[in-house]
Formats: sequence, structure tokens, C-alpha cells
Amino acid sequence: MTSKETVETPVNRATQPTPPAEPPSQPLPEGHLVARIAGEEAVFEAPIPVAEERLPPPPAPEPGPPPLPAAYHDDAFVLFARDPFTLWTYWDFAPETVRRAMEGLTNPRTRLRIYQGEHRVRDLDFALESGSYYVSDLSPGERYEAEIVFVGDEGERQVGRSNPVVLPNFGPSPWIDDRFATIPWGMRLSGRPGDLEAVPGEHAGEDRGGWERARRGGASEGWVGVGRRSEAGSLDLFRRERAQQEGR
Amino acid sequence: MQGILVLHLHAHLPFVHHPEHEHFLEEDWLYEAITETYLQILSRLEVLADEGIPFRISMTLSPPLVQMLRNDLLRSRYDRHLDALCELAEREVERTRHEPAFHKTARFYREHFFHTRWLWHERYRRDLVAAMAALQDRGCLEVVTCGATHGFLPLMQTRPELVRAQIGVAAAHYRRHFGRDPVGIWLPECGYYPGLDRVLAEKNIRYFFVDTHGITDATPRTRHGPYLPIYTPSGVAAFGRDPESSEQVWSAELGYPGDFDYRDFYRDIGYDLDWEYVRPYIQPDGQRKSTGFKYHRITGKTDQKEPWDWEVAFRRAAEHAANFVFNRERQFEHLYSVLGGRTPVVVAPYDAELFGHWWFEGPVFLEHVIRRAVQQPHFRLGTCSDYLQENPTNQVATPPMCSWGAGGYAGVWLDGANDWIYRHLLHAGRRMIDLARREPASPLERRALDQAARELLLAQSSDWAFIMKTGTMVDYAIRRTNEHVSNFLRLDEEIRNNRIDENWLGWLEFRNAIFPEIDYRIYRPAHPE
Repeated sequence: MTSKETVETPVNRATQPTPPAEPPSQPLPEGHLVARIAGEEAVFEAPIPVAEERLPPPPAPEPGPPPLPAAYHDDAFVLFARDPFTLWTYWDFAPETVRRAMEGLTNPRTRLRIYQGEHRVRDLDFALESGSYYVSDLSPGERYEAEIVFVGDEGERQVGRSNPVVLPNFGPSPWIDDRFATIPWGMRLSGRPGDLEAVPGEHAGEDRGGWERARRGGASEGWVGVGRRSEAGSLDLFRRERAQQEGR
Repeated sequence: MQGILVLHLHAHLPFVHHPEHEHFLEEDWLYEAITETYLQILSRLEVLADEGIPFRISMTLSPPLVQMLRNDLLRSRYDRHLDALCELAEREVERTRHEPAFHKTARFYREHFFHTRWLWHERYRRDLVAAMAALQDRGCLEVVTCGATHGFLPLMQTRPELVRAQIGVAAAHYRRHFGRDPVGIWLPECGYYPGLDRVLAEKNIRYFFVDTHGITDATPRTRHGPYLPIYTPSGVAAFGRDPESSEQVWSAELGYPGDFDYRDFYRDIGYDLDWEYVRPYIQPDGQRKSTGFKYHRITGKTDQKEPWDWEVAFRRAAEHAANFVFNRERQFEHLYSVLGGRTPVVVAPYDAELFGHWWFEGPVFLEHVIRRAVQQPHFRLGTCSDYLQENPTNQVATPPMCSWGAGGYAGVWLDGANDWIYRHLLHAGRRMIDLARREPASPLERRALDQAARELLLAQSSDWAFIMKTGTMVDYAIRRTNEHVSNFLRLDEEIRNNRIDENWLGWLEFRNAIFPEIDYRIYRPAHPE
């Protein structure tokens, strides 16, 4: 080993002498120490570190990691969106969770159920030991959840239910609602409450601390590559706003 | 009125640092990229800036790349690598003395590598990050950040703390190395999901990039496709990739880099020449590898490759640059006619390593593109922040979950070849969030908690899943995933049982020495219940 570098740690930081108080004209210490000593804002004034800190390396341990566990039994049941048509899910139930769910059931079979909104759209026989499953040919833009149940002669019992997932939509959105916002470059985004989409149309023109909604009617023949668009959405928006202004 | 062409180079390599081995093949990724890409691009941009050419381009320097470029061991190993290249260049001039077809190229390489070594030692003093920062300070370059370890964020969204850590660590790292806040981010693999923009807004990041369909498939429907940015609900702007300029450079069939006059990437004396001759320049165990000395041009779809002539190839790069700029001029003319008076933006992002590493003539092409672009009236070279400063009013819409990978979504990183990793990554993620609630009882525990955060971040790098999917160097990607998850699990257990092995921890801190400034508490929920 030829290197003499290592990371700085709280331990070796702690063994360093406390820097003496410096006159204001002196530069701040380098790098991340600045934040710890002089606060987060002082980082901007600090000199850029040229190299990582170097200390003699500790001895190397035995090579090679142990194999990863085949399962953690942490009752994970996670659903992912893979593409607009496909979900992937994995599960890792604790033996106790499985035993409890099977209790009292004769001839239990495992079923993976997929819900689109409130509606069950798939009911699949599968092997719990497989650990994961791809579900394809679903509908873009829809919200899904997965459920695993044991079905026995006496009825069924849930083993777990996944997180909800919304598949990405595919192709241009049918929703047309032209909203524009003006965000001055100097304005900070952090700490601003709420979403732009949450700004209700009826308050258009009201001072919103720099967040000004602008309306652009009929500005374009459509963008290149997608095709013409209807103006209906923006017209609806204008009508709604006008109705609000007129007190209707 | 002028539109803006955003040339964006995404420079990223996974963190590869193996002090336990004197020579480690995967560390060559960094050495080759420094030699062939970063130094070549940087030096050309600097020449253009010195000539007073008014251009601005943007570039990602991912946190792992910045960390490696500032790692002392890797820099000293790169010194050695560069010395070997120069030594071999001298030998190549001698070897080809009686081979006219190759001697000219050998002399070219000698000049090229000696100049590269001069750039590294004398011009940039072995610190490319400082050189990039200086170019940013001069106003020619805008450096944007990336996910801390290039983790694919859409597959972490069930645990927002994991996403927040990837962004937060990256932003802090950027401040540390560039002395300012990042204004933009290259989301790893352009991976976006609705809601991610809120995490970016927390760090005051003003823009990010998405693939074309991130804009065209946004909700509500966007008016102008990828040629105007949109504001996401949090106010962070999304810029879409232009498919036309992308294809001209990226496409294997239609793209410029496939021109028959360009240098062939695969033919290399590391594989072609006598083993005894190249032995000092390949792996010490005798395994052949690329040396960077390539004497053939693409020629065509044939194994009978003809000699490469760098002068012909560089002239070709200039022609292609002219063609690229001409096409952009026509593109902007067309866009003016359909955008109803709004200022168009064309975003042309590329992997930085395409220029120089894969496409040797790429940096020459880039220089000529910039030189030509400043001479025409239809558009100017700028950055996304330039656009937003001049055009602060934009449509509000939300892109769908998307990426720039094959298929456009998560399919590259979630596939039969790599899906096994997610149960480990998410389990470790949950454990890390739980660990972050702790207040360390000792400085040693604090070190262990910070290292656990590093191990998790390193395991999350999208590069490992990508490599498993593409099928090259798979063993290494599997090993890295196993290693970091395994390290994390052991740290987790040792911390909870108050039995921390200090020697082993010290070794991990030394070997996986990324983000020395990390604070494990970044994994605490943003809004604790």
C-alpha cells in the first residue's frame, strides 16, 4: 500500500488542538471544518480544499465480504413502477407473519392481488418463496396496490398489503390547462409553502410574493413533434376566473 | 431574439478506490477518462476562454468523480499511469520507425501524451476540480451537481429520506468543492418521479434535466414540447432533451462518431502486439487491456481495419461540427416560426466520456462547434440558468416518472439481472433511517454511524445495476453491491450491540473514503412525527 491518506473522523478531529481565535482578516479553515467551526454560511467564504486530508492508513482487514442474507424477514412488501405498463413487487415476510396468516386454513394457496384504485384487476396464483413478481399489461397513469393473501377451504387471510404506486402516464396528457408562473431568479425556492399547481385560478393577479401567474392565450400552433393542441383548457380556465371575479 | 443551445456534458464515474491493490483494473476508468476526456475538454475550453470567445456550456461533475479527482492516492497512481503512457509513446515511435503507415500516428501520440502530462502537472497542478471551478468563475462553464453516488432516485421514492440524503449530501459536497450552492442538478440517469422536485427545491436547486418524454408527457400537457422548460409544482424547472441533436451525436448508426475516418475504439496495441512487448503496460498478472494506443480507423463493417490518419479525422470532426451547427440554425429558425414569439431552448446533453474516450475526435468536434456557434445569428450557447434568468415565465406541469435509459423509465435498473439488489438496498435504507435517530454515545459510535451512511450511499450507485444489466464487468458490480451492503449490515449490528471494531472501521474509512464531511443525521425524517 503506498497511500497515506484517510478520511478525517470525529476522533482525529477531536485530537486536533482547538484553533486559536483569528483576526477577521485571516482566512477561515479549509473545507467542511468551516461549517462546524463557523456555521453553514461561512462555507461560502472558505478556500476550496485542494486535497483530502491524509493520515497513515490503518491495517487492512481480512478480504472478501460474507454473502448477503437470502432474506431479512422484515415484513417488507414493496411495489415499484417499472414502466407505464409494468409493476414489480418483492416481499420478505417474517415466518411468524406467514404462520399467523396461515393459521386455521386448510389447503392454503397464496394469491397475489393487484388493485387499480379500489378495483381488483389481477388475482394470481404464485409461490411465496419466489420473493418477487413482475405484473405487466397494466394501465399507464393509474394507481395500484398489491395484496398477498392465503386462500384456504375456510376462507382467506391477508399476509400483507403493499405501498401504493402510480404508473407513469404514456404519451401526451389529455389534461389541458395552461398555467404559467413567473419565478424571479433571485427568489429562493426553499421554504416556499405549497405547490404552484395548488394556486387556485380565482386568485390570479393577486400579489403572491413574487409568484405571479400569467395567462397566455393562443400563443402557439402546437409544439413540434406532438401535434396541435386544443385551447379548450385555457379557455375554461379563463371562464372560471372571470366567473369568480364577477362574484358568480 | 436569440434562442439558447444548451450543450451539457455529464461527467460521472462510480467511486472506485482500491488502496489494498497496487494495480486495480477498474481504477483505469478514471485514468482513461482524465487522459482522454477531462484534460482534453478542459484545455480546449480554456483556450476558447482565453481567446475571448463568448460561450457558456454546462457540465455535471458528479460527487464521486470530484472525490476521486481530489483523492491523493488516485492522483499519484494517475501520475504513474501517465508516465507509463509517455514511456510507451517513446517506444512506439521507435517500434514504428520502419512502418510509415503507423509512424506518423506514433509521433502524434508522443506529442499528445507529453502535452497531456504537461497539462496535468504544470497547467492544472493535478487538480482538475479547481480548474473547472476557475472556468466556472470566469463565466464560461456552469458546473451542476448530481445525486451523491448517482443513485437511481425513482426506485427509492418509497423512502423519501433516502432520496433526501442523495440530494443533500451532493449539495453539501458541491458547496465544499465549488464554494457556492449548485443551481442545477443532473438527476442520476435523468431519473425523475413526481414529487422529487420538492426535495430539489429544499436545496434551492433551480433546474434539472429530463428526457424528451419527461416534457412531452407531462401533466397538464405542455404547449411547446422540449423546446421550452416547464416549472414543476415546487418551482424547479425541468428542461427536456432535444431528440434531434441527441441522435446526431449519440446514434450508433446515424451519429457522427461512427464515421469511417474516425479512430476505432476497439483495436489497441494492448491486444494486438506481442505480449512481451506490451507486458509492462498491461495488468501485472499478464491480463491484456487497452493501452490508449490505437492505430486503426473504423473503416467500415469489416475486421480489415485501415490505418488511422489523425489529420484526416480531425478535419472530419471540423466538418461534422459545421454540419451540427448548420442543423441547429435550421432547427432554431423552425422553432421561431412555431413558438409564437417565445424564446426556444434546445438542450443537447451527452455523457462527457463520449468525447475523447469513446469518440477520440470528440473534443476537437466540441471545440469547432463552439467556434462556429458564436459566429452565427440564430442562437447562442448558454446554460439553463441563463434561460431562466432571461425567461422567468414558464408553463407549470409535472413530468411523469421517467429516465433517459433504454425504454425511458426504470427498466434498465429494474430487470431480471439486477432486481435482487433492491431488497438489500431498501432493507439497509430502513435500518439507516432507524440508526439516524440515535445520538452517538461516543466519538467511535459517531464515526461508525457516518461510515454506515457512506456504505449505504456507495451501495446505491446506479452504476452497479447498470453494469449487471449490460453484462460487462458484472462480477465487479455484484462484488461492490455485496460489499457495501455487507459492510453496512455489520456496522448496523456493531452499533446496536455497542461492539464496534475500531480497526475494521478505520479500514473502511480509509478504503471507502467518500464524503469525509458526511453527517449521518441527514437520514432523519424531514418532518418527524
